[in-house]
Amino acid sequence: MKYLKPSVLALTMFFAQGAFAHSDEYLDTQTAPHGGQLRMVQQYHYELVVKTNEVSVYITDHAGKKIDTQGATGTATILSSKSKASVKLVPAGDNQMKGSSKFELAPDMKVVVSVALSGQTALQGRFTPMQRTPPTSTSSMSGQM
Amino acid sequence: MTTIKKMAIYLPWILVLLMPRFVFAHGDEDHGNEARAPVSLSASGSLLELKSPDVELLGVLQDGKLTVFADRYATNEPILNAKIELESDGRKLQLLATKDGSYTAAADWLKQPGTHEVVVRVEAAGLEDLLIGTLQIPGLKPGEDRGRAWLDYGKWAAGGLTGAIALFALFKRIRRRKGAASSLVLPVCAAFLLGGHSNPGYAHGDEDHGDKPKAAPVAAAMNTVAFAAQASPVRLPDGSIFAPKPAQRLLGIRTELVKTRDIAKTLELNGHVSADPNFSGRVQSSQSGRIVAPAGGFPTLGMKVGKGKVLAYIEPAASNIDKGNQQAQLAELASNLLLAEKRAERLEQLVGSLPQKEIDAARAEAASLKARKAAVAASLFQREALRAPVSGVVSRADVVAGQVVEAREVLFEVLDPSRLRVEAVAYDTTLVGQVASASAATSGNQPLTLAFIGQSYQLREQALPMQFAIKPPFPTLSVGQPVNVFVQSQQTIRGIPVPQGSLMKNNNGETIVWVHAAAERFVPKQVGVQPLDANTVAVLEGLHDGDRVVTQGAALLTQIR
Repeated sequence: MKYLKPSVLALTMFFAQGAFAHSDEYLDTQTAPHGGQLRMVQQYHYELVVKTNEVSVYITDHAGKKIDTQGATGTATILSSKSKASVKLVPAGDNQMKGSSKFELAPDMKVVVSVALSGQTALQGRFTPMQRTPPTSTSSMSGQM
Repeated sequence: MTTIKKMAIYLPWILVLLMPRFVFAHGDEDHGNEARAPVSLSASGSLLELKSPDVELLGVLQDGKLTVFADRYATNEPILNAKIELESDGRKLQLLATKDGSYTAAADWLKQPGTHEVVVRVEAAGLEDLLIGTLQIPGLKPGEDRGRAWLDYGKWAAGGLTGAIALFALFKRIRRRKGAASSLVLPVCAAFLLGGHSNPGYAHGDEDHGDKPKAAPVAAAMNTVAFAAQASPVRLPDGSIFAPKPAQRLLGIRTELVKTRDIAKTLELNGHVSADPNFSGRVQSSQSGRIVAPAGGFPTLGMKVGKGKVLAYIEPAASNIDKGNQQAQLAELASNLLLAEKRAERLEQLVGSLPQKEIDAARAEAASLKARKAAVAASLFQREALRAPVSGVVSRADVVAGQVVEAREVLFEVLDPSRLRVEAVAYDTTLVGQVASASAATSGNQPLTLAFIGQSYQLREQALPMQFAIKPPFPTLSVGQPVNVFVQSQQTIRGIPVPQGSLMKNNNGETIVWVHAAAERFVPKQVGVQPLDANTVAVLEGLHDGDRVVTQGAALLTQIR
């Protein structure tokens, strides 16, 4: 019994390591809950959904548990077709951060999302929302090599 | 007198304070060399390494000045003339391109220790990218240094004070015994001695002074580069190589992103360019005779001719006897014709009294003789026209006016240079029916795309002749030119194709390739290979998809010690 607590701790630490094996290629094969692109950002998963002039980021932990975005601040930097747009993200209920601005949906667009949850430092993730390989189709797009 | 005395008392003090400024530079022994590599590689926290599938950025931060090297991720090719902008916590920093292909910027906030999340925007021809990362500016080191310096100064100040008091006591005693003049000598000497020693704070770091000829030209060139901390490439204890970006650029290191795939087995055959019989032709004389130039002269080499164009005339050659016989026949025919015509005229006047049959016979005879005369006369003087059999370019023309040629002699060759073929011989008869695709290279390394036409099933000089058509684009080729033909068979191997030049041998004689593991780090990977063709090998073991294999400059990397 004496060693129960340390061993549990050791086990959790051991398993926690597994969570860091999410490469971008692996995440691109996963179907995200909102149909966007998933990226691992430190201890969180960010899911980016881009629509015309609108950006949404959903934040979960590695197990897919929603993280409340109440009081969080963030920005999304969008680089598409040689123009850069900076979108301010505001909490939009539940685990969503939302913002809108004028930008173009280009196939090679790149988005950097930086979100600071309330009381935490900002964490950033890099997305290529138009270049993910859909899990179903066998398109030859090898965006994330 | 009292002022001089007072000055004499203070003199040792002043000297003690001034002396520590001396620096005793030493010879060119190489100190601190072993420690350098690991330090600059891992311990230096002021390195900024960002990468994306397109771009690899390496930044070095020194005293608030950021120097960035931008390269393409897959090929390690420097990105020049790019617009690079760094953004962190709302602060923007535009990087300026320098002459040596790097980018620099300086900002005060880069001196503040701490962790900064950065977003870098790179914009170059055909490339735009956003990269993210963390810039850690170590705060510990300078603080520590300052603290130690303080302590040091304190120590030495205390030491100096003690020494000065001792000197002062000595000075007083001497002064009591001897004159003031001689008493001055001692403190000055003592001050020199003290000053000479009180100097540890000014020993310098591990910058490389004294041009030792090791890692020869690279190291020498590196000395001119701004960062002293990472001067030259070096082999690390684990066998990998640390090569700073400037050195990589000097060595021209290029990489290739590898991927496992089915690679067709390739065979190299000897071949040569041949003409397509449908689009080339020869002009031969059908009889012996004398060459006569056509109107406009003989065609020249390389001249474009259309099908049917007259290239030359042949005047049939005949002996004098032949000619005489012909002329005699012609004369006879002429007289016969005259008689026959006259007879026909006469008979025509007697229409009605003579049977029509006789009149017709006389007419026909006259007509026949006329035709015979014309034929014989023509054969005496008629020239034979030699015409181009196909449209194309004249590739052989070795006739001169008046030349007498034999029958069947080849006078001109015409071919279409865009319709050439390649003929190769295969000594490996297992290739029968196994050709999947083919390519070729001329001796000048000009690549050709080939399409397999067919092969013979009859050995010619113990080899199977094979024919290939050349697909566009058509390089300038000549018939008969030797080419190396690479035939890809339908048998495939699953592996990673890498150029032959990537393969190196390590000290144990094992085959390795260099993998670009991090921006400035190259790791040798032992590989199992199978040769594919003269330039490519298939790596069956030892590499993974997405590895960046050094394809150019691998030999130079191997030489780094």
